[in-house]
Amino acid sequence: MEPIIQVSNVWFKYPGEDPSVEYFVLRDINLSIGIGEYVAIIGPNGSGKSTLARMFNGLLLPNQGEIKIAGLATTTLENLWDIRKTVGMVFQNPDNQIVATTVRDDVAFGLENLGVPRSEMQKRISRALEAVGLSGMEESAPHYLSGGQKQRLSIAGILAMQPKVVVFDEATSMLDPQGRKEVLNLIASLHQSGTTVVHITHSAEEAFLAKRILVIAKGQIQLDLPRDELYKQSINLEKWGLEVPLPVQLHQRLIKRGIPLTDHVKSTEDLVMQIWKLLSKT
Amino acid sequence: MNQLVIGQYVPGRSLIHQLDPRAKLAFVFAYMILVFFANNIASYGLLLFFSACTIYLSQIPLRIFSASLKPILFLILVMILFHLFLTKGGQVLFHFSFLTIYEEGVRQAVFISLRLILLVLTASLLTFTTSPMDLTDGLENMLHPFTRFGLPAHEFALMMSIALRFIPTIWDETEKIKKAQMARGADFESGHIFRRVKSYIPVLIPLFISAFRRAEDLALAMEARCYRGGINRTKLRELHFSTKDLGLVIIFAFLVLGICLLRE
Ligand SMILES: Nc1ncnc2c1ncn2[C@@H]1O[C@H](COP(=O)(O)OP(=O)(O)OP(=O)(O)O)[C@@H](O)[C@H]1O
Ligand SMILES: [Mg+2]
Repeated sequence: MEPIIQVSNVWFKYPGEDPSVEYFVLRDINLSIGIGEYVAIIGPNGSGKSTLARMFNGLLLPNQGEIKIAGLATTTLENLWDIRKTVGMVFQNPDNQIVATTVRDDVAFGLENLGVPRSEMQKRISRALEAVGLSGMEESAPHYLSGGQKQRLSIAGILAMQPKVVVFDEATSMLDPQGRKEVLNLIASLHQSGTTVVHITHSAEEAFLAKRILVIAKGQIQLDLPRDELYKQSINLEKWGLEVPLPVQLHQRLIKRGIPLTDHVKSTEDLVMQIWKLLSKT
Repeated sequence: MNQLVIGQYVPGRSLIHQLDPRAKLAFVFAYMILVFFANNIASYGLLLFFSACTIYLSQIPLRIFSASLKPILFLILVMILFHLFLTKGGQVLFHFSFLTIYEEGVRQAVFISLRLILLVLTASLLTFTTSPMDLTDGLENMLHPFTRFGLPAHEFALMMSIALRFIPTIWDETEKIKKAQMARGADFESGHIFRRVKSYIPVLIPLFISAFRRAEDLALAMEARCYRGGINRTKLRELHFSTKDLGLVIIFAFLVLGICLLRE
């Protein structure tokens, strides 16, 4: 399968910084993401996650190496609009990505930029608002929406543009638990409908919702594993200053206490099953 | 933010709400000029009557209009005092040591305050009955002919709508920062004016920093959504002149005629 995102030997540093190697935010990144994948990226603060994400739609361009989106290189200026149409991006702060004074006008913003005809626009807007559960709020002012609703509005604005990939750059980190749940559910249903999802997060718990997890630290991809594989080694996440999921900590402590569990569990469900079995034996 | 801000849109379906924003903008602009031609009781009466009719037709509660007048009450008061005591002419109505009030002074005081009230009511009517998006769209559309002379009509309208979008957000943030500074012992209420202005510095600095961060974020988000200026852009909102808007032209013609006949 041809990858939708192909990153080859990418180096990046912000302008003005020292040109020596240690100032490169990203160092020799190689990565490919296939159509329909659900990938999480975790890593400590300042490890270059947002920088990498911004390269996926040409907001930043690599100093060396190449990024191709659906076969189009981001460095070619003519490709830029097709690339941004293909890769939608939801940012962290719910307030700072809404342009218009009503919900409907905000969803329209991207479509207006693309030059979508008006009749088509109306169809797409109502479909997008329905997908995120904001139908009936077309006339509301963004200011009166909750954090979760604002993020869902941003997602609607991107869905209306019919992207193949949606990148969430810590899109849940400023939300309350309710809003977070709303957005995570939406991410899951996007994945279900075949959209490629890249979810950048600090939370191991959220990352483990994805099928494949990348760990980025010090400007490099340290691990790139399917969810189940990483779960087995996730006690190592501590090494990069990341939180270890609670079930994994529990598992390790139970073993230390001499409880006869297998060395590795694949998931929370797996752990629960093993504990159940133990309990029913005794 | 509970209190009504001047210029806030009050949603509705009244006749005035339904008028084309361009027609309203043009009418309000022309009407405001016309207000300056009124110079006696009859002509002011006509304008007041007309404004009262439009307010009635807008179906917006009167108290919202009176709230919009509140911020200019002080200005009106100053104007009244100024004219009462300083304008000379006509009969002397009142005399006490150095204070003399002339007939002309009273006239001017009444008319100037009426003029101010008319102007504010008209501007309020426009913003109360026209959504910000319609207003900026109307403005962009009306300014469009000037783009060939280098006027950035699209950018101007976008700037305005972004400002309108962020005013409540930044207002809330101001309140939050104020409370945070108050919790640290800042005092915004007491002291003379200089001191009070100075006490706002610790509010303004974080506010500015955050506003710049917002601007950066927003610019990035807009670019990510394929924004590239006004070229090849389509619009969700369409503006339509209707027969109602034509009515405005006729009404205005009558008003001009009326003022010409009634003024001295
Ligand atoms: N505009 C910029 N100019 C200069 N340096 C920057 C800029 N943006 C980020 N950096 C630096 O680049 C590095 C990587 O930043 P990036 O935002 O990609 O990290 P991140 O992994 O997204 O971190 P976080 O988890 O805090 O969001 C950081 O050291 C940061 O200080
Ligand atoms: Mg980041």
